[in-house]
Amino acid sequence: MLKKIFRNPQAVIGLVMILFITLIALLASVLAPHDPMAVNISMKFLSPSSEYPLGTDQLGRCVLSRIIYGTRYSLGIAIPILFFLAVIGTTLGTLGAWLGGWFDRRLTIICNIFMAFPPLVVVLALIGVLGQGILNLIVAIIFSMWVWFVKVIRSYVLIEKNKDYVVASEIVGCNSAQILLRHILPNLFPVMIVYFSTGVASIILMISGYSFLGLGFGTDIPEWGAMLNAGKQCLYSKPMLIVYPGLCILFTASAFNLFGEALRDILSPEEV
Amino acid sequence: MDNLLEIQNLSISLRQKNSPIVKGISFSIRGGQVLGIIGESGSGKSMTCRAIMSLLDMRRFTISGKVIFHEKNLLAMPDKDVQKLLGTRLAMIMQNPMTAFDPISKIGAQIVETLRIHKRVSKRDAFEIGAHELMKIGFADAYRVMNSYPHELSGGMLQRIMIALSMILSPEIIIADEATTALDVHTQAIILDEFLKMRNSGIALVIVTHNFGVLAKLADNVIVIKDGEVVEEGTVYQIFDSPQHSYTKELLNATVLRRERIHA
Amino acid sequence: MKYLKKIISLLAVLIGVSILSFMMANISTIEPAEAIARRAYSNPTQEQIAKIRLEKGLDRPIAVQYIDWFSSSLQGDLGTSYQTNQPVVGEMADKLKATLSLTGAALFWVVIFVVPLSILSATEKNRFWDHLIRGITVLGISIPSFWLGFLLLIAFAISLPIFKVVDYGNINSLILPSITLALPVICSSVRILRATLLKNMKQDYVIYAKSRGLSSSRIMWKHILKNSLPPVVTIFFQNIGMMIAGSAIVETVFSWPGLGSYFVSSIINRDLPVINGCVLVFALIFVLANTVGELTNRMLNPRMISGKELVTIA
Repeated sequence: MLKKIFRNPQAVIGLVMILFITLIALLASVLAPHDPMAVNISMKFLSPSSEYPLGTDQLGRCVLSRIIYGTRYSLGIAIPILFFLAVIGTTLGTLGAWLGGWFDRRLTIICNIFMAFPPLVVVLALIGVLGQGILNLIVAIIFSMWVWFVKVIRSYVLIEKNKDYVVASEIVGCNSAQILLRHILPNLFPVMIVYFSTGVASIILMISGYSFLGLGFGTDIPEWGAMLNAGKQCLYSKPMLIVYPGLCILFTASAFNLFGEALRDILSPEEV
Repeated sequence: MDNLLEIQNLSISLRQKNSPIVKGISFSIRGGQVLGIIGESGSGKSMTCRAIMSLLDMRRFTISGKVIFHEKNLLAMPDKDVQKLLGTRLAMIMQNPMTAFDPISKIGAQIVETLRIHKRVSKRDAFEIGAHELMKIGFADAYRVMNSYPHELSGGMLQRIMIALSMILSPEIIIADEATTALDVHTQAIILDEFLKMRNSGIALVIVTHNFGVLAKLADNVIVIKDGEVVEEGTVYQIFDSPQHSYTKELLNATVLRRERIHA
Repeated sequence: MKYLKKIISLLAVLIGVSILSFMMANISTIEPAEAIARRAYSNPTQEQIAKIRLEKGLDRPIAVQYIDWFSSSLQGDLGTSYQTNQPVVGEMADKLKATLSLTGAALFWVVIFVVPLSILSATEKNRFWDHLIRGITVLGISIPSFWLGFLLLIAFAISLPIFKVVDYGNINSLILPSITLALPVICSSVRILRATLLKNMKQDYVIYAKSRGLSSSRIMWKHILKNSLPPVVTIFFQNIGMMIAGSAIVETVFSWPGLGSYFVSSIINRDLPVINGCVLVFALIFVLANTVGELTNRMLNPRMISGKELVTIA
């Protein structure tokens, strides 16, 4: 499997991009030339120079430094969110598919009700209720998306459950936990990675989208969506303030999508 | 009589792996004759048939050699000209009747479509012709069948529809690629009867099979294929009575009908 | 009778949705009476807040408030906006029109681009056009829509003054925002349709059709395409729901007076009746779109039409 991944150029490109961003996030304090929060009004709207490689924003802050630190916010929030969604989705989805019966029926009804809400609406409504802030945003996103994860993983487990090797394992005498943990879930691991990888991309887009609407972070935080929100004031004079953060979002989301889609192609081989 | 269809040195290989599937096969067939092609799964029989009808994806396969039909090389002809011949002069019957038809179109629509591509007929006339052909082949409820979807019909029925469809434009050659393999014995007998009727009406047949019983009943000549090559050829009597190649002998030994000889 | 069950479950979902939305909008950190009071007076006293609470019936138990709201909703009254003191239904109707026109224009782009691009990509698999289309579609699903909107504005409204930056009411004003809204949908749809087309292109019926003399393009457009539509139809209707409900971002970028931006401002302003009304309408449209999608798929699939699966006649 790993060999196939490394032979697929799209997967490799995606992985390299992901590693690149992760490295930047980890080494941000070393790489950034200035303090991303350092306000210096006299230096505002400077053009790119050796001192400020991407210029400064409306409050005189170094754009490049803010972009670099932005990786921490995007990755640092998207990945924990995905982690929670993955755990909730896998647990409930597997239980629902495996146990069936009244549990599954109740679960499906709850999911159907939640799925009637477009995620954006749920998040906005929850933010309206809980107030703005990073933590509330995280909770809101998890709350809006958990049903989708549950449904997808549940359908995967259902398909797997009906496969011959599961029946064979039951005949041999394996108990449910063994079948689930040692056979079904490991077999589903690759498809789940595909779903999670593209999921990270969606979450990153969501986070920046909500920040753009002013719901997540204050404008001093160097998160890309928030930077775009701030930058829209100077759309005419300094369009680059919008271009840079957007480019980063595009880059990061593409990285995860490229990898996820490449993995999907590898898993369902398309013969030439 | 001149050869109706002549395959000269046909070779097929996969582009990507450069591995040869069919290595220089040659055979010919005269009008009104039945040629049986026998070999085990994977020997290249189906590939050969598809190559003859220009049905192989040229991006996946490299094909060399000639397929001479009425003195023209089909492999060298432009697509448009080949399409005019397919269905009209040459027809094919596929192995799996359940998947051969478009699942979301009615049978009648698919028959009408085939007719109208090759002949100038109105939809209504084409429908009537189709229903008539179905009745000829034994469908009493031809109109209901025409208005059915493929999944509403059984495998045997679909196979008979394929046969009717193959004859509808009066072809000179019909290639049957394992046409009986997917059917139960009873239905097989019915289909083989249809093939006999075809032969008796003067259509040349190429019957691809891995079943000697089918050959015994239908074929005039036989070629035996192993690993993409012709290892033996002859009349059906020669093959049954005095097989030369060891492979042919193996195949015959594996067949229950070894001792049976059918004299038409 | 399966349809009756379906309708009942739909109603159950809608009621569940309305309860949930009502609850969500009413469990607030800032008490609604206080929020209203702050708008009316700069420094409201407790008496003024209490008076407003009484007036608006906000002192009653939640369940009563809900039933009251629900029964009025059924009669078409979704309350009055705290902000503008106008009936919510009227305001929402106008905004909905704007959002629907935007979504309609976006769907126009979707319909004319998805099928040709997918077919081109599938038939040219692993060659130039396929790589190009696949590359663009990956970018298309990774691009933040607000950024795309601004780029289009910068390119076509500021640098090249072809369009106006803030515009509404004529065909021209629709073009940039509808493209922005449509692009991610087009890209994800193309990816799905391409995959389904490729799967269908390998089917036996394709070869059999060719053996009867049908041309490749005829087989593609008349047979393969129709067989490949179901998953795309599902996604198409899901996307309609997503576009209408998720238009907030694009509307904000283009200052489009639609339901999405109305919803966002109502949240910032804690305008409860508007929040309640919008959530309900969005959920309704979403559910409706998905249901229509399901129904359409059933109609397209002849196995569903005959009602019975694989019945063999004789």
